[in-house]
Amino acid sequence: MSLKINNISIYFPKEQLTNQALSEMFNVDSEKIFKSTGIENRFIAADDECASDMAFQAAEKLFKEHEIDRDSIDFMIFCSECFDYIAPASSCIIHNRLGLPKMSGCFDLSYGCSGYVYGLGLAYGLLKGGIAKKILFLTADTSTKVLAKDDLKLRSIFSDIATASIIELDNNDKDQTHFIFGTDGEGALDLYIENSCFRKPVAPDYVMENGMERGKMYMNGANVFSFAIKTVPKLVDDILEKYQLTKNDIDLFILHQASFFMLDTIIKKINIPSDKVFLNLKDYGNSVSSTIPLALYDAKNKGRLKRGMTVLLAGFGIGYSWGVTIVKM
Amino acid sequence: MISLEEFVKNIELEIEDLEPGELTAEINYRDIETWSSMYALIIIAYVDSEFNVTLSGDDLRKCNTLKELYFLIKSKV
Repeated sequence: MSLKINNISIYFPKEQLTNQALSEMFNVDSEKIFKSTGIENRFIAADDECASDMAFQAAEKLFKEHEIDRDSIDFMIFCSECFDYIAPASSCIIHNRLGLPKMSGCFDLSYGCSGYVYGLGLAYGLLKGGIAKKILFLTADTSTKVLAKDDLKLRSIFSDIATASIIELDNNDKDQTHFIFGTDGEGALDLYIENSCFRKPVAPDYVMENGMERGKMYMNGANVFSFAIKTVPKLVDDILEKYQLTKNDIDLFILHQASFFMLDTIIKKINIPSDKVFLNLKDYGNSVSSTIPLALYDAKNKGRLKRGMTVLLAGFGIGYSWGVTIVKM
Repeated sequence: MISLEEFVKNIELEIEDLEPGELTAEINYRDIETWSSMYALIIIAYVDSEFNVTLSGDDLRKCNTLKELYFLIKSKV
């Protein structure tokens, strides 16, 4: 029995941030911003909007757009790195707001760019183990709240978006779904939110100095880039080998939409034709764990993803953490 | 492995914004007027595809000139 991603809905916050707006803010040529990121537009959560609010909206859209009975959900996973509180789990708060059945489990999955593949792997375990039958999988982040006002580099990349997916087993498919995951905590501080929790909390002095009430994102872009171009091509080779497939057997490659130059370098290194790779970061930016479900949704709407296609999904980034799988749509 | 001169020339070509001769083996590449973090990524990508050596950002930080970088790559090939 293989894993099936049955429905996806997306929630976009109202505010958008274009290159034109960034170029006026930073007095930089907007073409230069596009050239270095491949991004034209990003979404920004409202001041009082949390990731859990966005995830709630995405789930409500999913129930409405796909006529899903919320009482049929027997498990929920919320993937984010922007939780309401350290405790309790934000998933409990979302679960209550959505009015999901009391006899259904939920948990927070604290992961970034590898989060969607991680969530799929965990969902598959729950489904195969007979613990759940229909899983609501939510992703949402408000990364823009931890970006310094004067940090053009990071503000050019990150975007706040939420997604909701329904994950079930395909009982008619005899094949298994395989996953590969990996971790290298040596890169933990190459991309992290400084002064944001127990190790180094947000202190009054820090807020006074930085104006950052929730901590501040720091990224060593060159180290992260180096990690990605080294790890992802091998990850793709390894999952193909696990399935005993070749690149030609994959109809569409959906990689975490990090930044254009990183993706372009990875695609060239894997040596796959560009028409087999779906890219949409130009319109949406890097929305962390939401990029893969957003790409699946967008590819379907644009006619690039059709029923029955074999799709490779790879998530990689903060941690460092990575994961890959191949699913039939 | 290609010569140091070719290495410098190739990197200059990869970083499209540079004037011919602007980059030399001996100058501190961070002193180039238009130097940006993007150039570091371009160098890492070029070295990875040309020599199959994945430099880290820290490797680039430790070096000051393309000559130093060239010999670092040579030690890793």
